[in-house]
Amino acid sequence: MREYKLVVLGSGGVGKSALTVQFVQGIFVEKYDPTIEDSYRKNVCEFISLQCELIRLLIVCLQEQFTAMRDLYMKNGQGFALVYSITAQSTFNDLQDLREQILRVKDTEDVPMILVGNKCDLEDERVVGKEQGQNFARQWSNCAFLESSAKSKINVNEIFYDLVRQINRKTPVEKKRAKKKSNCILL
Amino acid sequence: MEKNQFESDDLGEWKIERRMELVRVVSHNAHKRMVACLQGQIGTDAEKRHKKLPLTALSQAMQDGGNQLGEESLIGKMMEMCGDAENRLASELMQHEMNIEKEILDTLNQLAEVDIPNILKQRRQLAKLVLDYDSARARWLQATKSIISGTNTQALTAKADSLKEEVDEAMNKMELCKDQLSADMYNFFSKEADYARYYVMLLEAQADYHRKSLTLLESVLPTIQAQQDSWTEKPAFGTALDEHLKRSGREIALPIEACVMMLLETGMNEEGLFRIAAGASKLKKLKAALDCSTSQLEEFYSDPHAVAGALKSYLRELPEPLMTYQLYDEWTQASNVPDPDKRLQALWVTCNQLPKNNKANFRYLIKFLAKLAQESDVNKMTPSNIAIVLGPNLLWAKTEGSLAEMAAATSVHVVTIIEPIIQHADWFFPEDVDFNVSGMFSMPAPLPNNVNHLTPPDYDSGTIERKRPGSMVGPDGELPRRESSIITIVIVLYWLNCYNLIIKYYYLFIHLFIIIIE
Repeated sequence: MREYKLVVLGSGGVGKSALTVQFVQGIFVEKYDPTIEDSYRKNVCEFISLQCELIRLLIVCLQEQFTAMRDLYMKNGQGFALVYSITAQSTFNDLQDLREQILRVKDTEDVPMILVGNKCDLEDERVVGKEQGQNFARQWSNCAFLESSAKSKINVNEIFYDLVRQINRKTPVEKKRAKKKSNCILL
Repeated sequence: MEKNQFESDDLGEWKIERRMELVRVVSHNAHKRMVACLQGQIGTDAEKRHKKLPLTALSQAMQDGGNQLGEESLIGKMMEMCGDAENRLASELMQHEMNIEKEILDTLNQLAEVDIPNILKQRRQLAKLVLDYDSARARWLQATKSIISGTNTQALTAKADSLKEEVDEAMNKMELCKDQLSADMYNFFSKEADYARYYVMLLEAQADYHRKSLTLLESVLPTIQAQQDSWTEKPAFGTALDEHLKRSGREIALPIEACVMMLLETGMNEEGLFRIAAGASKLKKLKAALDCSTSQLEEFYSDPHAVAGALKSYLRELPEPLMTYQLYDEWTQASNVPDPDKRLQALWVTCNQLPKNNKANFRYLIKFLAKLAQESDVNKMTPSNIAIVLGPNLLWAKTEGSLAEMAAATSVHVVTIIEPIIQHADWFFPEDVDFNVSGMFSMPAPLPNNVNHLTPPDYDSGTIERKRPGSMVGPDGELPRRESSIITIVIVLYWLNCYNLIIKYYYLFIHLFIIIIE
């Protein structure tokens, strides 16, 4: 069994927890509580190879008061989902800095990463166009891009699967012995 | 034989001569380089020199700049003071260079270009005299030989005598010149110590110059520093609370008041206020605008998230958290008290230990947050949510321990401290707060409901009546529970149609209610 540490990053209120809970438990949380710290695990048996995969998710908020821990999360994370809300331009703009910080901490250009435009069910309130997201992803050396909705269960699993696939591609299976856990922390 | 004697004599002098030539060359070079070090033009008078110095030009430019900017600009004032100081430095430099020129350069020049060449000239003169003497002597020897072999003895003797006279004269001249030269040479070397002294003098003069310049600078520095400190337009962000309040003569820190006033106008119904991050560039702009008192803040009324972000940022950038390092342990201990009522009291005690300025600003902020939480139906920011997103900006630990410790210190702990304070803001701070403390901030076009914001309405502050230590008599935390239990009894009895019981104990209930209300 292989463990993947995925980190979900983004501004406050973009739906990091919602995506994660939807992925792990298959429910949509209506609560509007900011996450301090939370971790989730999920076994993914049907996934790619036949062996069970355990995914550990870590959710980190962009709020500046939690910056102290951010480096640590970035260092330990293997794959990163950078989430913005398509209904708020500022959440989108902040991601550039975040990506740069990840690349700096990881000290490489090649980090498994996916750009996620969440809340795509709220088409009426959209302010960040799909094009913008795609362009952004292209600038980030062709990083993966998805628009998702935790509420309508659109592209939720795909985000995490894509990350796992990227990690597999980057570090093939023989390196697995070192890592044997997976977790997910909500901030 | 005489010639040999002269040559052996000459050997020592020849050495001296060579050294003298060397001294001349090195002195010449030293002089040349020293002149190159001077900033003023050599040989001109003091006033002209002063004018030509680069420092004078700098000072002039600064004073002109100061005049153009005027007295009300800090840069202008500073340029003027600095320009004045530079001018005085230029005078010092001019004095120093004049001094060097007179005391050292001129004497060095005299040595290299006049004294030594004169001696050397004399040496050449001597060589010529030696030749003259030699030839005179040869002629005389020749003459004496011809006397012995010759016939006209008388005439020849007379000639020899005259030649002998010439020889004597030439020798005399030579001896004179030689003595003079030797005297000069020995004299020169006996004065070596004097010549060497120029270099000591050079360093002394330089030390003196630097000392004088330093004294001058040190006398100017306190004045200019005081000028700098007296300037009130210092950035508020990152400045200690007390210092900022003192300098600006305020009760509530400018960024806190400005942000609260703006949010009261337009932010109270904003979903996720303080949670949703603002655009980084907007936030930067607002922070810069708040640092500069002359700026216009109108445009930010439409961007409450930026305003909330700026407020968070201000609190975070304080050198010491608003709830102070000193009370960090006490806050933590207070929040760890298991009994909810006792915990509140412990928090209340700690709250009252805050320094005056911190307490005033904390109270102001908490009252605002409580007001914000009242709108949580719309903005979704309950006291707990506010505490989560804002708490880490109000209190953090001083020691930078391990990352794990920091994480523990920044998140969960602080929430348990802040949340109850926001929840029971009116119990912690019963007096009303007028958010418009300085009257500096108001909407460009005031709305009719403006007034409501300025004097917060009395909301259900009486729901919780907890005892404050030392302020009321009665057992700790008993009242609310008793109140609710009596109400429960009445309702249950009513529901059971036990009117007779209610009537029977009517007076008792009334009595109990009176106690509670009191």
